[in-house]
Amino acid sequence: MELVLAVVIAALFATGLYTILRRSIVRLAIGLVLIGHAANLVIFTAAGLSREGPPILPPGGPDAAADGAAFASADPLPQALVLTAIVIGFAVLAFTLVLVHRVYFEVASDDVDALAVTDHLPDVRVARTEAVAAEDSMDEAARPDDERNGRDELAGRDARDRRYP
Amino acid sequence: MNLLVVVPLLVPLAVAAASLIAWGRHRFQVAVAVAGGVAQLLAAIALFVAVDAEGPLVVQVGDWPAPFGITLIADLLSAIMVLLAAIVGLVVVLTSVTSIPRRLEVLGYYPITQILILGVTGAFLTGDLFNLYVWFEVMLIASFVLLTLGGRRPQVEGGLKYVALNLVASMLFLSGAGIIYGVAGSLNMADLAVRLDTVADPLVVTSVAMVFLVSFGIKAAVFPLFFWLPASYHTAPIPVSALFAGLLTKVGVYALIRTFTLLFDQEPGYTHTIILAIAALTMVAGVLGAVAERDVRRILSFHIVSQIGYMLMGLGLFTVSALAASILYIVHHIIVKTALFLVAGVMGRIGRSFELDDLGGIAARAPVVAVLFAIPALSLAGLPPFSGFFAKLGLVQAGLVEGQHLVVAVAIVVSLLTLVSMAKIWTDGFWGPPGRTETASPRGVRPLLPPIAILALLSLTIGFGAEPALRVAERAAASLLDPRGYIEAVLGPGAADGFRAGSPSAIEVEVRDP
Repeated sequence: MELVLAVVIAALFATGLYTILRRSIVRLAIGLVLIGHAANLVIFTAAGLSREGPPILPPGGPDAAADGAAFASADPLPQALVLTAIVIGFAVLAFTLVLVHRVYFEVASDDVDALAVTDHLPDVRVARTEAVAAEDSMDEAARPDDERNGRDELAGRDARDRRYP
Repeated sequence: MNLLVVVPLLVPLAVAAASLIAWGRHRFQVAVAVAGGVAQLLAAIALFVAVDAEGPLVVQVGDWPAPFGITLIADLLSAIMVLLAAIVGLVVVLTSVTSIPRRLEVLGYYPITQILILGVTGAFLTGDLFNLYVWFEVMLIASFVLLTLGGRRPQVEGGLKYVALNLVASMLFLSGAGIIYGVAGSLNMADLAVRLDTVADPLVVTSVAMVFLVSFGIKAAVFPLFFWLPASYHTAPIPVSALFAGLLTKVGVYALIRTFTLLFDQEPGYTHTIILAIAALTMVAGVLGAVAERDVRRILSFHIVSQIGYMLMGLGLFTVSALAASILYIVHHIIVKTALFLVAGVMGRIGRSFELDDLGGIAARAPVVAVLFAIPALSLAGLPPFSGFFAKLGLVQAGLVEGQHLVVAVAIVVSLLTLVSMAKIWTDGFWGPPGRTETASPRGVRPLLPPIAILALLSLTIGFGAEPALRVAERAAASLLDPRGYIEAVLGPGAADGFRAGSPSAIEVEVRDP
């Protein structure tokens, strides 16, 4: 059983990494999910698989089992760890999806290579300077309403597209 | 129950909760954040004084005995880091009050900042590997939100890169923790320190150590895993950039130092040589990026990467004096880097741009800003009498003692290049004719200056009081390399009996301890 799970984990890590390395932003999110599942399975498998009973002492103590056999139980800790990791992973995934959605609206592209505004390329330098002047991050400069609350992305996008060639 | 250890966690938690309840009441949120920052600073000072006097303080959460429950422990390194986090937190809140635009305040800027500080402090105080993962995630989620708050294009672009790489790092960390549990049957770090030395197959331990090295390496932005940092840090509002620059990567460095002194010191000839090589490459790669950049914030971002190399250099050398210099370097760097980012914010506000080509002549019209830039900049480059000089001197001396001449040479050359890129900001930003895009009057930046002055004074204080600061760092480093005190504090007296009686690091401590 460990061998099967090890192969599954390897496949999940490999698929996840491959998907992350694709140029699509949506696939990036999917790849992160796959790697997250792989990590959870690593904890589960590495801690040792067993067919023992629940980690609950029988009434009367560990020696009072009905058939006189020694008390044995599965290790509850890895399950608690995996549960915690799943919950955290879920929250982070929710955030990532919202971010991917937002990036798609701002950039109007699903291509990772379109995300070059933060890198220092000569052809976007002028645009960057304008952007800084317009949205000086320490200044409460007057901004159009649509950009302040960011609700009507489609209207705001045209303006932004002009600013970032 | 030792309250001193818990209070630095409770204060930001309470402040965040109060701010969330008072959603939309900005004056109240600001008042609570400032009061919380002061309270946190006092709590951190009390913790530091107590730990320095009494040794490690431990709290077993829920009174479950270690290694079964979650352990919170403040040893000297943790206490130093908590104190720095409190200082940076307070300074950033004071800056935010006068500079964060209302449109970000209404999105919950203050509570999220407090949650970030909570996550950072928790990561410093925990004594449990899985709990460290949880605190990392608390910190990461808060930083994700802060980085993308407002949702403008550069922010979400940088944010996506930051989120993706940090999530991959978290998953590696999680996998490593799972394998460690499978190998050693514990996640309590003190318990692991004892158990990992007796694992049947040491090769597995070294392999897991590499998983942790990559995971924490991404979070600490070491070569060749640093590309997310210069792509994202400069996109946030300046107080957020300063907070990130001061604290976030240093949590990764702290985790590296903690795990590679307490847990993974079985084969220092292998693991720590890799760390030393990474340190040298990180210094070079970071500073070359900085020399090539023209945007003040991106220059500073690349310098963070470069400085991480110095912090790891002490860990790679793995002696008391080298680790002490590393700790002093972290202290110095957190203060100086936060100050530099805040100064960059002031420059951007005066010049209406962060591009050096657009800036100029700030020294003539705002001489105070120039002084406040010069102090941390010269300190960063490592000129006496500022704090950076003594930290770098300690590292160079330790490297020469160990005979690692190559890394020492790299450290010195990189210092020179750091000075070159700081001089570039100085000549292009502070000298010369007024900038192209200039509109604002320097008068408007006055409220931003006192917090920077506090940090500059701290840097000077460490510089002039280098002797006592180095003594504290040496005590912290000695207890890192001889963790018997740490282990007995967590597991009870006698738990570390016979621990590493003949291992190289234990002998080294006795020989080198001044």
